[in-house]
Amino acid sequence: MNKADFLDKVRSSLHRKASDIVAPAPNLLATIKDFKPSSLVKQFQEEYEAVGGNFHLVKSKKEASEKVLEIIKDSKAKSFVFSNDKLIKSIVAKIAIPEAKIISDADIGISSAYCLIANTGTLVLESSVGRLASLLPASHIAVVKDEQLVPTMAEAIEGLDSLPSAWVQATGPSRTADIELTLTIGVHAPGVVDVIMIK
Amino acid sequence: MEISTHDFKNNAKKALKDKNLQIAMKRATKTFVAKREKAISSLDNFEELRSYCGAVKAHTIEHLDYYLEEFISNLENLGVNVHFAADGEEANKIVTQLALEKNVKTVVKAKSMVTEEILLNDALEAVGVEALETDLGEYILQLDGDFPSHIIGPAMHKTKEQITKLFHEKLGSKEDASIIELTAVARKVLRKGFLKADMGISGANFAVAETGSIVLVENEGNIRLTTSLPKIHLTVMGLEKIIPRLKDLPAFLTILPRSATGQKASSYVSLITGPKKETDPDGPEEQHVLIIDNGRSNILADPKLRDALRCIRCGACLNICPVYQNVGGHAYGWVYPGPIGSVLDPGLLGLDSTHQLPQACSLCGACGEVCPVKIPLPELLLEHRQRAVKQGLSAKAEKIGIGAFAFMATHPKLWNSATKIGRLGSQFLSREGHIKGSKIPVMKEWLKERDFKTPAQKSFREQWRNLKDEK
Ligand code: SF4
Repeated sequence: MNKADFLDKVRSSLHRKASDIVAPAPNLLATIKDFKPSSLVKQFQEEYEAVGGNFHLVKSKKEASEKVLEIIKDSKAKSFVFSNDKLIKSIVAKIAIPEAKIISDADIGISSAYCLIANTGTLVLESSVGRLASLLPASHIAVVKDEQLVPTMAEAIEGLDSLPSAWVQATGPSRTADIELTLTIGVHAPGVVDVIMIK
Repeated sequence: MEISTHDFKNNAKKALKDKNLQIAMKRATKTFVAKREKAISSLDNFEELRSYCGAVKAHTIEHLDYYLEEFISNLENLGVNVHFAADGEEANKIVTQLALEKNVKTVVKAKSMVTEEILLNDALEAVGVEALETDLGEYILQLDGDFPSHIIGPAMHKTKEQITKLFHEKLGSKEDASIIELTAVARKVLRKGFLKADMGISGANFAVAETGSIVLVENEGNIRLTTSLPKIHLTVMGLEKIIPRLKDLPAFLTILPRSATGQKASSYVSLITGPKKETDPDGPEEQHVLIIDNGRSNILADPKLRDALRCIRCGACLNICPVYQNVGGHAYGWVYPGPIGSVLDPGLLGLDSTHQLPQACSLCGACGEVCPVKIPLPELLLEHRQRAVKQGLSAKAEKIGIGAFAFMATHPKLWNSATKIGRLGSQFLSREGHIKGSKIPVMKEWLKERDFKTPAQKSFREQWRNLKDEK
């Protein structure tokens, strides 16, 4: 079916002709009221931990870098990958294990985030720095800054003039409940997730 | 899946005797209902958001011609190839031709009810293209040659024991593997599929007219992989998935996961807006969107049923439905079960082969109360029943009962007094708290398939009023 015929069918189902169409003006808008945070950092931490994420608050880039090394050491990861992100590049320079040649071979992926949504404990990841480093490895570490926090998704999309090809809101580890509704972590995407926040 | 909506009564009888199914269904629906309630109570204004989302969807459906056109032209501007199909056959032809033209050997699929509706996997296999379901539930069903029974938890009708046995036989996993081990096995097998696939096929939870974005909601990460790894990404969507603006999305993303799985947020929400940009390090080079009618414009053309197109497929009405809880999804005989299935299926397939579905409803009203977009499901079910009666599709004695019922249900005063009378009268007719059909003449035919609990002496509303008075 071509576009014109398809749209005509919809129009005639609504008993309208093409010339009848006027731009509708929805003027509704809702606010989401599910929190009264004392601080966005605290709220993010609570929500992130509630869904099974690990949260670390640090004071400087140097501390963040040390935290990354510590997590990698504890995880016994053999190789890592990272996303094409300024903040990350300087941090990964000191990592002792090798960078994986193929992203899907890496045990750990390191990235930053576009922003963070406090009321749901969500990281916003976007495609311009690459999609795969935060997706393929079994572990994901995100290094972020506290000033990237916004209260809800509404503020995250406010004032955006264009969307990246992929805008992904990631909340905690990959999970499934497809077998008898039993929660199981880490099915297709990272099962271990850490956020290191520089304050 | 062979359509057997015409045979609900027999399907339901079989389901009630299936012990595994009964165990699995009771566990699952109870968990879903409890989780939903908890998640909703953490919001101050769920009712307000419900009204808002219902109104946005109703508005969109009323102006679907406008918003569809806006969505399509935004897709085109983004460099997305847009395809249109009047029905399933045409849709399958478009997808298989595209796959062959692009020399696709393996397709990875993210869960999509509309592709179940049109039997896309069969069509792909028929032209020699491997179609691999990657949602864990869907993968289990594909391994077993089985079909989804729930729009959110597709393998909900299976017990863990059944799945362990299946994986042992088909994938060589341990005979006593735990759920964690089963999941790890599936991850490994499916990851190989992802890495070799030439095309990823997803559905769409929402389509944003203003930006041309496809919104996908999931927990596993298989949708992220499906839309990121293969060179080609195809979205197959029904024409009703549109929402007008990006700023409408946060409200929908607040009510959907709460209503569906009782989560504040699903693990992943992806907004896909066009194919990979030149400067993006990865992502699909080609994006296609296939918009399907397949009976939806018939529902759109029917002002009394149009509201059904608001559905965001959360599954809440299934979980709360006493009939669904007992018979499971397969008994309904098609991809959309439960209350919303009993409303949509007659609209999509015609009432002739589906009129038993709305008749199975016990008219308790629970579905209408949970629906996050406020679809008046009980009214729509009644509408189908009246039409079935008018068209001579349901048994004669039942006609009188339902006709009277519908009349009373739409006249609140009469309804209240009639239910009071019914309640008093039924105390005399019941034995051990159950009414056996034959005692009430007009209900005889109806009750043949139903065994009622004796109505409470006081209705819920009366009890509630008394409680409030006592305070
Ligand atoms: S009809 Fe309402 S409750 Fe049922 S699946 Fe659709 S949105 Fe959810």
